Formats: sequence, C-alpha cells, structure tokens
Amino acid sequence: MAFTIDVQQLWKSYEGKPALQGLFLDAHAGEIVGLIGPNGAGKTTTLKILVGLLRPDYGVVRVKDHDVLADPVNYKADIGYMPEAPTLPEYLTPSEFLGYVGRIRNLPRDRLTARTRELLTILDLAPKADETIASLSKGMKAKIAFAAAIIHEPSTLILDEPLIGIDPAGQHLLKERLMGIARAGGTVLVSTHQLDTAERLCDRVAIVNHGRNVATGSLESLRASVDSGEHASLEEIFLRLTQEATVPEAEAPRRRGWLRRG
Amino acid sequence: MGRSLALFTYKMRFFFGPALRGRFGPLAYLALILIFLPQGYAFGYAIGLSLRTLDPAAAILVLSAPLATIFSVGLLYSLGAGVTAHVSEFDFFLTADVRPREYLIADLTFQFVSLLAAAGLAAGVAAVAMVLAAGRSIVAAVPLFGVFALYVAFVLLTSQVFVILRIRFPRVPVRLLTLPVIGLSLLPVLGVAVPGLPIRFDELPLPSIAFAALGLAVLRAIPPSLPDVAICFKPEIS
Repeated sequence: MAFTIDVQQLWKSYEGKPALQGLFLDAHAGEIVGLIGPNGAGKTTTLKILVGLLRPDYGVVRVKDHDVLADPVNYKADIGYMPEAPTLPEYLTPSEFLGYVGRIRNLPRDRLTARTRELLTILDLAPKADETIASLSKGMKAKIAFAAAIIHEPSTLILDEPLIGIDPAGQHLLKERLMGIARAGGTVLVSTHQLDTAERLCDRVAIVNHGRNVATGSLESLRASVDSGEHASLEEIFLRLTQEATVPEAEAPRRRGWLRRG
Repeated sequence: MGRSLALFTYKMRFFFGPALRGRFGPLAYLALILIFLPQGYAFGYAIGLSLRTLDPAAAILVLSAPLATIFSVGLLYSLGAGVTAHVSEFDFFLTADVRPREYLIADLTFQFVSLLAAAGLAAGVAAVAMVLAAGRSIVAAVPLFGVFALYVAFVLLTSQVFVILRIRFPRVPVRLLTLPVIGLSLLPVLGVAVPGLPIRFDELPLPSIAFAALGLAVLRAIPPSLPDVAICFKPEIS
C-alpha cells in the first residue's frame, strides 16, 4: 500500500545547527499519525517542509507520490495546513478571511458561500462571523485557522499543535472532525504535546528527538518495543524513550548537488 | 488571474484594514497624504524654476538626481525580503497551489498601487508645480506624471528581478552584486553634487537619466530622443 506521506532521510539545519538529522516518517490513507517530541525536536520543521514552506538540506519528501521537491506547487491543492499559533488578519472578519482562503483554493462562489457558513456553524463561530478577528479569543482564532485548513476538503491534513488554546468542547469537536476525515479515507498528520490526546486520537505515533526518529508505531507496538507493561501510557513510553535517547549530533551525508531526490 | 486578484485585494485590505476599520476610518491616511502636498508643490516648483535657465545636460542631471535616489531605494529594498507577505499569507495561501507568478503579479500590483496611493497625490502636485514653473500648460502635468508612474513601475520590477535572482540562484552572491549597481545608479547625484567632473553624466545609459530626459522633453515640449525611449522600455540594457 502506497504511503500518502513518505519522508526519508530528512536533513535540515539552521545556520549550521541541525534541526533534522535523517528523519523518516510515513502516513497511509485513512489514518491519523501523531508526531510527538520535546521542544526543538524538529516537529514544526518537518511539517513546514511537508507543506512547502521550507526546503530541506537533503532527503526525499513525497506526498501522494508527488516529489514535493521536484514539483513544489501542484501537490498542495489537496493539502490542508494549520500552523502552530496561527497569525490571522486581525481586521478582517472570519467570513471575509475564509472567503479569501476559499478563493485562493479555487472554490466556486456558491460552494464557498455554503462551505463558509457550514464551517462557521459547525465550529460554533456563526455568531462571530461578522466581527473582526481582533475581537475574538485565542481559541476562536484557532478554530478559524482550522476552518481555513479544511475549507477545500483536502484529503491530506497537516496540523501543528491544533488544540492549543481551544476549550474542551472545541477540542472534542476538532477531534471528531479529524476522525471523520480519517474514516472517509483522508490522512491526518498532527503534531502535538498533548500525549493523552495523541494516545486516544492517533492510530500511530512517531516519537522524535534531536531531529531523529526515536520510535514509530501503534501504542501496542511501542509498549512492546520498550518492554513496558500492557497498560503503560503513551506519556510513560514517551518519557522513557526520549530520556534514553541521548543522541549525539550526526554529520549530514555528503551531497552531490544540493539534494537527493530518491 | 482570479487568484492574483484575490491575493491583491487581500493585501490591500490587510494593509489598509487598521485604518479603514479604525476609529477615524481613512481620515488618518488622508491626513498623512495631505501633509506632503505642500512639500510636493514646493519641490516641484523649485525644480521647474531651475530648469528654465539650465542647459539640457544640466537639466537632465537635476531631474535625474531624485529619480536616481528612488532607484537606489528600490534596490536597497531588494536587499531585504523584497515581498510584502504577511505571516497569514505564508500559512494559508502559500501552502495552497498558488503559482509563483500568480503571487508575483499580486505583490507587484499591490506595491505599485499602495505606493501611488501613498505618494501619488504629492507626486501629482509636484508635477503640476513643475509644469507651471516651467511655463507650460497644466495639461503637461499628465504626461509628466505618467513618466514618473512608469519609472516607479520600472524600479519595482527591477528590484523584483534582483529578489527573484537571489531566490532562484541561492549560491550566487546577488546581494553583493546589487551594491555596485546601487553605486552606479547614484552617479547622476554625483554629477549634481560635484560639478566639473570630466564625465558626461547626462549621456550615461542609466534608467534615471533616460527617464529624466523623457521628463525634460515633456517639460520643454520637444520630442524625446529614441535612445532614451529605448532605455526606458528595455530594462535589461541598464
């Protein structure tokens, strides 16, 4: 079965400081994959490379069999992205902002109007639809960013800490939507620090530290790999694996040209 | 084209949003624009008066000095980010299948329109003052302003070429190469500041000189020279 998301040997450094050191990651259609790791583990860098906001120093990145580095535009039509701590245009209303996102996503006018209304209603934002974003709470802004990520109904969703600042009811709503997208055959890759959420939401998790894989798999397989009890929580597994993994910095592979493309 | 238009209107609303939806509405911008009108008139009138007595070579230099300054500011701008993207554009628009050319069209149009909105009125008033001081009909301010608007578009395009070169060829030291171009572009200012140098500044194939020659042709109601027109419309020559 082909991967929807296939990342191999991903390297990226910022001013000589390595952020990713040969990361591998994959996700199939119909599953929710959690990307978890301590601060500075390389989660956001990985997601930004996947959505084309950053270029890796080295590695292979494929989304639905598209070589992202060779064709950095077309594959994005079917991707939705929600950034960590989204910065929104404060002086537009949620309706106006979603209208722009929909136009950029080439939604027909009728569909865009209906979809905007639908999302604002589902996410409990309808009463605020015509107020400026500046007047909304942090959680509401996060919901608008989520709506912007799914307005075009993408089959691949990439979310960076999507639940931060959202109230419990809103979190429940978002998780329901994510599970619905996965059940419908979509792929969801979500970076999160909320391990209990990851445990309940994700089919598999990839634990990363120092820009490298520490472990990847379902909760059961991770329990088995660290030889913990059958009731060990993801938090226990995570702490054990990340504390054990004191990985020295590795040297990036020698390059012919600036990039290997599989 | 639809996407470029959406991006352009988003940028306009984002940029002018705080003023349009603020307490005083667009009045704050209007006040800012009006503050510069007297300066624009005085500047234009002073240049227009000085042009009456100067020979063509010196007049071209006087006209080209402010244009050269604008050009060098444009190039300095290209040393930075070179585009006017807000974080929300990166996160929600550039993660969509927007083509670089679609974004470039929107960004350049936004830069051109917002520049003209901010400085266009003052520049228009300066053009009126210049033609009046030069003893021409006020109607001549229209083509003179047209030459100026064309020049602004030329500067924006040139700065964007440097930005694109920098992104397209990350290993080429484009920023470093930009610096001598800035130096070259400021030569007409040198010609005004240090008269008597053994260089025919007015004959240098620089865009600011060519546009200044076009402006002088408008002011003195004489036909423009073909080489000047060629330089104005062939940016790669510069």
